[in-house]
Amino acid sequence: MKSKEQFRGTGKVFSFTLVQLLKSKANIIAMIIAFFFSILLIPVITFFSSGNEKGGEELKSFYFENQTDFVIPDIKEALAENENLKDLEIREGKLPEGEKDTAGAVLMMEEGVPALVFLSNPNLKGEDSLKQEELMSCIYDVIDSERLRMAGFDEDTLRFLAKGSSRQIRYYNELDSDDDTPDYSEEDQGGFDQTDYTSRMGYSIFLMTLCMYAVGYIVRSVIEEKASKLVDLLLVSVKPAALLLGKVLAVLIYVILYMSVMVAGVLISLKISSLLFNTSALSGISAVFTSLNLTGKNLLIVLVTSILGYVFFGLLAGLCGAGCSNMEESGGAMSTCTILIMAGYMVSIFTSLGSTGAAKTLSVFPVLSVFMAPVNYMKGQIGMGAVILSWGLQLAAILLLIFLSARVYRQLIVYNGKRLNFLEIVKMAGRKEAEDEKAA
Amino acid sequence: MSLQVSHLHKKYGTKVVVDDLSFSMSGPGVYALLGTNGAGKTTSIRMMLDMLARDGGEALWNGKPLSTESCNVGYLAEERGLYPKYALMDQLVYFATLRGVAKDEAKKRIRSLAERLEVEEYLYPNQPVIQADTGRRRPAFGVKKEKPRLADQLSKGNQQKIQFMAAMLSDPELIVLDEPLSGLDPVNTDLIRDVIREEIARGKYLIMSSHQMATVEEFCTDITILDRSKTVLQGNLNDIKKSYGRVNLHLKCERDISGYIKASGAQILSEKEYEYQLKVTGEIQANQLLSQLISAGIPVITFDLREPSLHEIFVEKVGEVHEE
Repeated sequence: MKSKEQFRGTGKVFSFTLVQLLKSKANIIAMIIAFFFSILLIPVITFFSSGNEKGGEELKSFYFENQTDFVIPDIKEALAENENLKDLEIREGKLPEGEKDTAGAVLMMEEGVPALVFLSNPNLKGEDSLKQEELMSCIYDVIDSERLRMAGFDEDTLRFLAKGSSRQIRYYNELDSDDDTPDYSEEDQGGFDQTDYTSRMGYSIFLMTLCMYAVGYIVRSVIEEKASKLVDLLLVSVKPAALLLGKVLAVLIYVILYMSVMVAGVLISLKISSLLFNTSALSGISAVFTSLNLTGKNLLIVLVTSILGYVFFGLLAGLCGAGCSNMEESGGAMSTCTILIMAGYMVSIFTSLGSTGAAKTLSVFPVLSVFMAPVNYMKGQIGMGAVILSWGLQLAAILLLIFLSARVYRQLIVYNGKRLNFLEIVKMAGRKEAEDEKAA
Repeated sequence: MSLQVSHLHKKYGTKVVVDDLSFSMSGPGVYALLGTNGAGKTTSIRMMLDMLARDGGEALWNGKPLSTESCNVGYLAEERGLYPKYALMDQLVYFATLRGVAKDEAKKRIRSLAERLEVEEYLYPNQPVIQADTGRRRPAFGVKKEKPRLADQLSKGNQQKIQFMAAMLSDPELIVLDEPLSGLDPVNTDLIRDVIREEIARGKYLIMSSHQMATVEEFCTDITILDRSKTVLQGNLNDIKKSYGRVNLHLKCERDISGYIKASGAQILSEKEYEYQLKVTGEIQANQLLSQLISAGIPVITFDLREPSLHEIFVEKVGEVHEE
């Protein structure tokens, strides 16, 4: 049969399914709840991350007490160069007791050397707490520079010293020995990286949610059509492949819409929260997005990979659902897909804790690749070639499922009886092949 | 137009469920596929319509393989269903558009069929009120707007009428009705009968499968009786009946005539207050019995000599196979 005929009517199944998904009261309520949940997300994170910061004090003044014979230059002048500290009121003398919106520092002698003791204010709100840390660093620089100047260092030497030096740890077995000029600039320390872990987990959870929702909906929908005895009525108009593909695509659009609503909620929440609360506690999340380098190209890679993964699990769910005869069997049908999705998620998370070699290799494996390849690419652990290879292999897996569906879906969709698991469905396809060969 | 079904064959594992089924329709009319439960009727229909893979045989429509692409088919399946939680109108429009009917045209056809099958109140819950005096329609002011009806809010009979509508929406040239009247009350049965009669009059090709022999007898010209996957009787219904001869005698008198009946050699099938259902060997035996009664001065109220009914033929044929 011509392949084009197999998919005739897909568009109509797609639009009907999508419209019904959007009309469903349960789905509308779920979307509204998701939107409000997203709106609340940022304030909740901010509240739990920064505790009492919202009610904290502002840092308005700074007391500096010099108990040594050193002549300290004008601190006010030094701080004026810093955008965040230029408005701070600098006072000489001892930090008075009971003042809430201030901090202080004492320069004293300890065992013959000058020591700077910073009198930190623990009640400052988050933003001002950061300001206090910056102030501490600035004061230290001023005093240290003065100490070196007194020791005879000229201005050029002081500027050179101010640049400091950095330290990196690289594992020698990760360096390319054949390369005459190895590039050491990549920051790959091999150890636990919180940002890396968070980004992997975030992407995996996104994909897992997408696939889990699709699997649940498609399995239930296929069984509902079978159990409602609608299949005969539908099959007289559309081929089983079109019936399945239309559903898979409609759910994809619905889930994308659902997630867009959530993202819109988060963005609105972020905008409003930044006006009302101190959102410095979200700097970690910001760091994750920065580390992922979300350019148009990278987003496209995420999109293509996610869609490939989604289509794979959607088709698998359709096949497993068609092996059931009633809704009570849906749990069993979903378990095959759930196990694979969980496997992809777990492998993605665990490889972020282990060696990068394993992550690189597993990034091209079908099923695992959809959870791993995009983040590994964005982190620079695999190249574009590996991403394309992973797409190719995942596409091959999808084609294999389509081939399997074409063999057995027509039988499965009208099948009534004990639930057929995925292996039995594969065996059924094998038997049919043998019968076809015999008939030929 | 013609329909040619040849040597359809299907087996599941080692069990043969349809064994070499062949029949044809060279002109418009109604063909009946009859059989006991599990005889293979529904499987045959599914194979004919290319919904189920065949192990052998073919079905041709105008010389080309029959499929929903080559022929506009309306199919009312034995296992009927609707989406329980979707609005009825949405479903009907969906089923029509799947068959290639434009949305606007589908809505017109839905309105027309809804009126004929008396299901407007479920499909148009907020339709304008018809004024009794003028017959004009006016908006239902002050009436709370009702939500579109869902399939699971309808009785089984009304659901069946909606499903029948779904089969007829594409104005099909070949209509396949699997047990179209089962479970319907007499009023609704008549509504669907009327639509079927109209379709026959419009020159449509119908294939009907039913256990209600009176319905089949009313509409069908040709039949195939299946039993346990095999064809046990096939042909034109009138010819089949003629081949059996007129052997059913309905006789009613004013007093007991059982002695005369026994003497004539006729077999009494049932008896109630001097009203007898008899099985005779033919017209000669029946006429002899009538002559004897007249000669004896017994008033005869009813003398009706008929061919066997389809029900009797069916039971006889299927019974023969089971006895073998």
